[in-house]
Amino acid sequence: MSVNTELSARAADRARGCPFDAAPGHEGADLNGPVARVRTPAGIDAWMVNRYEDVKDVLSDTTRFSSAAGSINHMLPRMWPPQPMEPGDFNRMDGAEHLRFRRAFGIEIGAAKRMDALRPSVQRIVDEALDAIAGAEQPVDFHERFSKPVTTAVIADLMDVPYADRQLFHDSAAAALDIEMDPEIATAAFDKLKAYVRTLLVDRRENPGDDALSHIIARSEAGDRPFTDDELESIGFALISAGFDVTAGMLTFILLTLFEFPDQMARLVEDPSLVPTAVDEFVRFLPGDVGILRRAVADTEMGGVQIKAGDYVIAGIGAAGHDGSVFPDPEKLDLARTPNSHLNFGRGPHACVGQQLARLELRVALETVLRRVPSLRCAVPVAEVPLRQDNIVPGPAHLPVLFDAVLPAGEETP
Amino acid sequence: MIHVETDTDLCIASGVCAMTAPKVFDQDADTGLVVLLDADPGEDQTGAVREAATLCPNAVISLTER
Repeated sequence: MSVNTELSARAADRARGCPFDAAPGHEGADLNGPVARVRTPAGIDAWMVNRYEDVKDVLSDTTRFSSAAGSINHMLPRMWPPQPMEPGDFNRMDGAEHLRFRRAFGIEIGAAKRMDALRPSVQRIVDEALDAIAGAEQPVDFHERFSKPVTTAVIADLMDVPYADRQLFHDSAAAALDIEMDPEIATAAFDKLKAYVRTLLVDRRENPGDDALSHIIARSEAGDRPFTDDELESIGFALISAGFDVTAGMLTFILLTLFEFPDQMARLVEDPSLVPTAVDEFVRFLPGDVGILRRAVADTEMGGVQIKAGDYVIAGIGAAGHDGSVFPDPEKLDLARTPNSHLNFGRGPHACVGQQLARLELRVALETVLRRVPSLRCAVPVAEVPLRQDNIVPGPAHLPVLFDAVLPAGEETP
Repeated sequence: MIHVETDTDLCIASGVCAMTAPKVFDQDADTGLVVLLDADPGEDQTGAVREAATLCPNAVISLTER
């Protein structure tokens, strides 16, 4: 089959026309067929899988689909071909090797009780960020002044590292996600963060604290096969650099969406108990996902297409969320949607390890913003809000907002 | 009635089950792996248990009707 769609690395291109529509190649099975042949920005040809059940299958069945090529390496030319695997490159591992790492993260940033324990500090961080913009000159850039500081501070808090070191984290995230970045500058940014994590490891071994890295080291030491320093470096690197940028992008995108749909905003203000389902609905509804790269390790058939061992396959997680056979009225933003088993956090053993933390942050931030800044509004027409052009992560580049007042923090949310 | 089984070998400690149906699933404090609190939960838990089984990222939870 010939290539029929060239995908774009630019998130803004993948969600064009109106920021709430998916772009060519990403609209899903109705328009693209169950399986489409695509060329990715990194120049590889791949099968784009669009139907919900097939996407779930690609992500869950590790006997047919391997993660070894890396999950998003198809999006940036400088990421292709993938570097040789480094020790601890768990994102590209399969099977038991991968599970050894995945579980170390799971208990630390996924477990329900851990999330309960983190909630008060997330609430404090959100409240402080709102206090900080209360008297600022308006319009305020919600993305730069709220979303980014909040999600960065949560990671700094989780790792017990100074918020003042944030430029290092931001540079590394940019190196992973910015489209135009010079490969040497990207490598330098990664190396700098790796050196930082090494120093942190030495410190946490000598002075263990109540932070994610100290916990992971302690558990590892008590186990049968402790992580090596190289492996711990990868773990620390991932904890610091993966997560805050995508979460910040989503938070700002959610606000933009509420400005576009004021009736939905009013509904949330009126009934904050909808915030948890609303967050998952935004994650399902908003376009711009890059898809998840896998490589077939066995011949298989999907959507009437023969896929051969060695072929690249992209799990269209965004398209899957708009599969009408699973989601009634999929183009409708339904903040109370239940059940909502979208695949936007992935599925299978590699499902997003930070998804519970992301949910916690988005829920607390959204609930608090609507409660404390009910007068929040967009300073320009929604269509004029600039979308990120430099990055594979979707969402507004800036979001100028106006408000009458920031109300006092008051009681902590239940 | 619904009967619940879990395959701990597959568990990735995502926490989805314990958050969705906390009366039926817990997580081991050291490993984060699923701990089944109630293999035969009452009718009031059926919805939450079904949701947890659907949302579990790695198909750890299997349900049988009794």
